[in-house]
Amino acid sequence: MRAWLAIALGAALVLPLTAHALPDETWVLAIGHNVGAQGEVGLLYAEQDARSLADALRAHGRVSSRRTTLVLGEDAASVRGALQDVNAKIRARAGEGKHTALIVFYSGHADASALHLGGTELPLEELKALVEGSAAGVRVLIIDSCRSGSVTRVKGVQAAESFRIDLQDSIATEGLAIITSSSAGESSQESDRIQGSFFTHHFVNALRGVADSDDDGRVTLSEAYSYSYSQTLRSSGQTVALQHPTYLWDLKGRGDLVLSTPAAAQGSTGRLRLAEPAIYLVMAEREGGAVVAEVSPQGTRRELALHAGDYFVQQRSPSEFREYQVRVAAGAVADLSTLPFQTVRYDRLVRRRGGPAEHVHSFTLLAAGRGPMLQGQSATPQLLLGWGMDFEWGSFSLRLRGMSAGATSADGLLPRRHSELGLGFALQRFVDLRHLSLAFGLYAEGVGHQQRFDTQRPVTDRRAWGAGFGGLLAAERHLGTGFALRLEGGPVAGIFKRAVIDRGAEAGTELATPLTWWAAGGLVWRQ
Amino acid sequence: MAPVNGAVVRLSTLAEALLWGAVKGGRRLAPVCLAVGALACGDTLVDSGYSGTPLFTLQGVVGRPGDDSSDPGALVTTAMFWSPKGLTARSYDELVEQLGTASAAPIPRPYVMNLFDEPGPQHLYTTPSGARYALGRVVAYLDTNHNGRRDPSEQILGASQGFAVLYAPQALAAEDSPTGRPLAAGWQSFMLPLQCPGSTSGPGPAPVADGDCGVPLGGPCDTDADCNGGVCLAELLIPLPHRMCAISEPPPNGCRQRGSVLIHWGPGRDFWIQGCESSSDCTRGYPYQCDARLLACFPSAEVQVNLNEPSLRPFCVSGPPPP
Repeated sequence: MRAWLAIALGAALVLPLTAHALPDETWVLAIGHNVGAQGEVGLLYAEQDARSLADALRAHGRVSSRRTTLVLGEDAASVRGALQDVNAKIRARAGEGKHTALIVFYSGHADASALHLGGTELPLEELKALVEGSAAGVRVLIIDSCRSGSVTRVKGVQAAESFRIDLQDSIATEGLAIITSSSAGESSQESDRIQGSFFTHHFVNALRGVADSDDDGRVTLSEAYSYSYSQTLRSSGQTVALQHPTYLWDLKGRGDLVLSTPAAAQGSTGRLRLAEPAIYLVMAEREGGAVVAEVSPQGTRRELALHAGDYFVQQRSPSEFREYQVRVAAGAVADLSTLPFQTVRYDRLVRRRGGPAEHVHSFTLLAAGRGPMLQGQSATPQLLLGWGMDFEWGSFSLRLRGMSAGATSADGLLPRRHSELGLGFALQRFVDLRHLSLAFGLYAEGVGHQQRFDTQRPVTDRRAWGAGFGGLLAAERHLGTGFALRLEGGPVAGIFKRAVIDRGAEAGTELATPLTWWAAGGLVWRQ
Repeated sequence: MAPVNGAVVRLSTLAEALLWGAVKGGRRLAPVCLAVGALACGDTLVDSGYSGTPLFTLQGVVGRPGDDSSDPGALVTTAMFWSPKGLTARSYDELVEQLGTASAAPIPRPYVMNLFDEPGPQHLYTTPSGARYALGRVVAYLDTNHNGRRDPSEQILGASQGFAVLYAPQALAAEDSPTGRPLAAGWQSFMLPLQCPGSTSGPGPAPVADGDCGVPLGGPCDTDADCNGGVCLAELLIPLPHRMCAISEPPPNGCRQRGSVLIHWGPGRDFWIQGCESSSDCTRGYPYQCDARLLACFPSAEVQVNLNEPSLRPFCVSGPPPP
């Protein structure tokens, strides 16, 4: 499928094709039904999908509202009648020598053989025959259908026969094109977050301009399909099952079919010019508002036509989010690259459950100092390497700590070197402020100790295992490109066997639990 | 406190006690030890107070016998001083302090001096035949600048006038030994004074070969009746802790016990005490030992440092053999 698509897109780029806009006499029949057959889970957004597509074609495809018919929540007979009625009107206009087009969109439940319309069925073959038999020069049938559902309202169509993938050497301005939202055996899905089905959401955004890969300000049928295919696949990849949209091209003649011209903003719409390639989440008014679009703009123009208003835009790059507050004015272009933004790191997003990832990895390198754990020991330099993961509930990290420090006996005649290697873990909870992230938590570690003596005296080197634990207070300041400056400190306690010394000699053993301090600073890199 | 494997363990908290339970099991409980995270296994760690394993330990008392007016708060430093000139040293200036042996504490007090190093070349005396040994005393002084060593300006308060410490890297033949008798390699402490070389005197007292007189020589006693015909001495040259059975010379019943040694303490005050070749021959423990000079079991392991006598007595005397 994708190979064919690549060939198709390549051919479209290489061949000197002519793109033809939808004729003035373009009829749109948008059908939506949230209720399928008995036993199928009701959908929430099927009828909304039909409205959205009709609106997009009206706003950006210059389709007259007089020639747009919405059939929402109606049974098979009503749908059949509406389609026959539209066909009759087209037939009349075609007879007058007008160029005509018919776009039929369906969103709702279906199975391998029929659309499920509130307990009634419209056979797919009949629907196809009605569209195919229309007198319109161009006939486009788009099926975003669902079959059966579960709690997640999985949609699907299971084709009795695979659609024939037959890309001709040109995209015609006459003939039939059929696009479905999923392949045979797959499910189509709708999402609460985008309040619609994946496929329709991306198809509508394609019409709004983000699919304009050749930067000509127009979105053709092949661009819209190509974009919807890749984005539906990406979105469904984050859910229970992949979803591969399919198409049947049976059109004649050279040239592509232009479905929308978003660059020519009309009425109350303006354009949002997005920045570098990334996934953008556009929400109405402010952060947390309804998701207007989740887009991955193609080409270099990267414009999205929107109704005038305020929007919150989240640009999701691999290392961080950038968040913009944008006002789109009617007939104007709001350019994100000229607007201020706030950078939000993934770890912050994870911690507030606002990002796409459930966790973020972190790598830490700290230089540290620790107070004395043994009498006569001064503050000792330490080096700490850490790997961790930030979750919504907190942060976990593994920490490898090393230390080596020299000291002498009280009489100055027994030099020794005390080395430690500690491996432990830390649990922290972050509090994210505007410019700073604060953390508090606990850590524990197992410690290997070694004491080496450089002397002629009859003493032997010592090796011991101990433990350490303590509290952590930390502050992190983001530096950019995933790096953050980290300062941390807190009380720490050690546990190890210590010799009881009497007049310089070992007189016994005790379990030492010294309490001291820990302070460290360094870099954290998160991915 | 709880004794574990002969060591004294201080457990300050319940948590420590619980953790120690995992520790004392040693290797058998190593997995448990790891599992509970206590991880306090392996050797003990030492701090700056640790100087090593003592090669020799001296114990005694530093103070002013008979003088109760000593300032109890005065810090007096005691340290080991060696005589590179052997027996001929006559003043403190001829003694060399061994670094790392000084410790300061108020007086009067008992003291324990651990020696962690062998005396260095600067401390050793070389005999005409090439044998070497270190002969020293415990010296008390005021370490006014607290630098852990005696500076020339710092006042010496006294020394272990009646006791000496000897270290021989190798066994000493009689002609090389400051005691006039063969000495094994290692550490010794014994009574002073010694007899100076070249003194025209006869041999010292030797163990007698008479029979068993039935007197528990060297044993503790309260009265003469405890000594089965011997005498119960409270003092002989120095005070005798818990007294000691001896036989006066001449013996009342004429019996001089086999292996005993005659100690001259003045006219009419000569006594036979338990002879020895090593401290294991002695029936009593510290402070009794086999005195290297007397070759008798004697409480010379407790080295008294007398602050009433600041000038240094010689290590040896000429003339008749000392007691």
